[in-house]
Amino acid sequence: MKGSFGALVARGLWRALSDRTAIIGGLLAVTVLAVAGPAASFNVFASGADTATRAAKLRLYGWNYTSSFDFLMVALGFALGANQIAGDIKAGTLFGVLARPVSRGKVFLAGWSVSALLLVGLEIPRSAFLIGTASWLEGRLDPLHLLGALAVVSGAWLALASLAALGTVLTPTYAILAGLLGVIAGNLAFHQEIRIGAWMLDTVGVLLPLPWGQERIVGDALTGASSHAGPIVEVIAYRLAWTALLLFLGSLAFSRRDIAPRV
Amino acid sequence: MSATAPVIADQLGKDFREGFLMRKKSALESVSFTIQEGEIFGFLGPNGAGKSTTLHVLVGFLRPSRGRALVAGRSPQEPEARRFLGFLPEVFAFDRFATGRGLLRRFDALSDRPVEGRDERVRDALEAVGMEEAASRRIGTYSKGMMQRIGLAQALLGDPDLLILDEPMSGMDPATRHSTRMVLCARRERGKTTLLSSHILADVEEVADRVLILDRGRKVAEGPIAELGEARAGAVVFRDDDPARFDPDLAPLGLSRETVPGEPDLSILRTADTSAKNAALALLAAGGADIVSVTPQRAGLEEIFLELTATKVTKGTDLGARSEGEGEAS
Repeated sequence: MKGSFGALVARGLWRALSDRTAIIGGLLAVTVLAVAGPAASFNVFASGADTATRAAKLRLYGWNYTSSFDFLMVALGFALGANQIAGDIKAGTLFGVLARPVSRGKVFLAGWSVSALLLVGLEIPRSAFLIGTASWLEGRLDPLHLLGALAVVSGAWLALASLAALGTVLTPTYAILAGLLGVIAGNLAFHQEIRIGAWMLDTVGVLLPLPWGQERIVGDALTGASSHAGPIVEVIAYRLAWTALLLFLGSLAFSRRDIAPRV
Repeated sequence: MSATAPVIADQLGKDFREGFLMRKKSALESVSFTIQEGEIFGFLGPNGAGKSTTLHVLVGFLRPSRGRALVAGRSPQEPEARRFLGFLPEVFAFDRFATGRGLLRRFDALSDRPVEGRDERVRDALEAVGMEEAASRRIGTYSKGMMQRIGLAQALLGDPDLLILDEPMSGMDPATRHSTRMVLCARRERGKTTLLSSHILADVEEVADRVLILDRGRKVAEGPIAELGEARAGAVVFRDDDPARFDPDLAPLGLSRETVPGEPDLSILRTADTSAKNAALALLAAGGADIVSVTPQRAGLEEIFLELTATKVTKGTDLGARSEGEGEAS
């Protein structure tokens, strides 16, 4: 990667790796993997079942035992996203960059790219281990397993893009608060048994395409409970489309905003 | 107004929204000026005058609410306008884990300059501010003065055609201030332009070709310091609660009384003639007037600055130094 975008990515990487939140989040994620991964493997290989059953159990236990890792990924996406622009402004470190001949859109996208790569980097060990081992046991690679992992990553990217976009117009604290409110509203909306959720879904669903039961669809793809690619592809497309839209809106908001050091 | 001048501000205005109710507050009102190539242009004003706001508009951080600004013939919002610009904000921070040299290398890469010659450009900038020895240390360990110098170094990186400095001498020791002034003068010799905003009037007076003075968002004076000083030579400002009662005969002295709009009890007399000034002072003292200030025969930058900003005397008056194109507050 050459030119100013490469320099922005290098700077973003440097910032993320010296960011306490990112370091703590990364360490927690690694800890979860270090504990849950061997536990799932032990349960599977100690069960003495046949190879096909072992593969199925590995997928089921592996992904279920590491479900807190999913939460950490989203939380880390929140923290990195909020810190991307809002934190950079608050620290006063962004102005030296904005005084250079780089567009704000480029600054925003480079920052998001770095955080997105970090999240992928964290997800790779888990996915590579579970998908690799299951494929080895099954003797084939299940495309749905791969798509499920991609859906997990795209969910973290969406959280990251949401907070990065909010961070272009809000302080880090308010961006995280707004993001949490969004999560609560989203969870309510996707629970049909809650009256307010059904009402929100009916209202918002008129305007936006909201695939229902995303978590179940992703879970089925990861654990091998589903054999249809359609729903998981739809979830991935939904998450990537929203990510792209939020990146566009965030970039636009950042480009048009007045930002100056407080004197 | 030349289209190729490094900086053009034309009727520039900027409003901010403040408080819970987002009330509009004007920070700049119809400020116009042009900076010519190879010039050191001093930018002065008291706190809150709108200096930093103007600089932030010129660097593209802020969008003007009214009027327009051009840097190198382009809107400051365009990244290309910042290609040959170096900027030191008044308040800044750098990644504290980076070294001084690492920071400059990163900024050089951000400016899309070729890798070839990067080491030389970084070395030149560090040498210009005397930071070669501390260049390998982490920025988090720098003192305030060193931070200011590394800030200046990043602005000088690549020897930009236009340098915009907001309080560059803040926190610097006298020797560093002196060498910084020398750097600015050397740049001028090479035809490079500098916009220097500073509260340290002695520094500005020493190096600036022209100055602009802002007060409460409005331009109150612009021009070479010598000309501004002559225009303000021998000013006597006095207070008189009842002008109708006190009316000294100033005509024989060749003086006329200038009134100040909005300040009915204040008046100004101007003369470059010492004897006339002394006679006027005697008349005023005999009449019981309260003499507020007396400016020397040739006013220095500090006297000019104080007359235009620190006292309320001249606010809103036309002192003959306003440039054409300056408008009234909208």
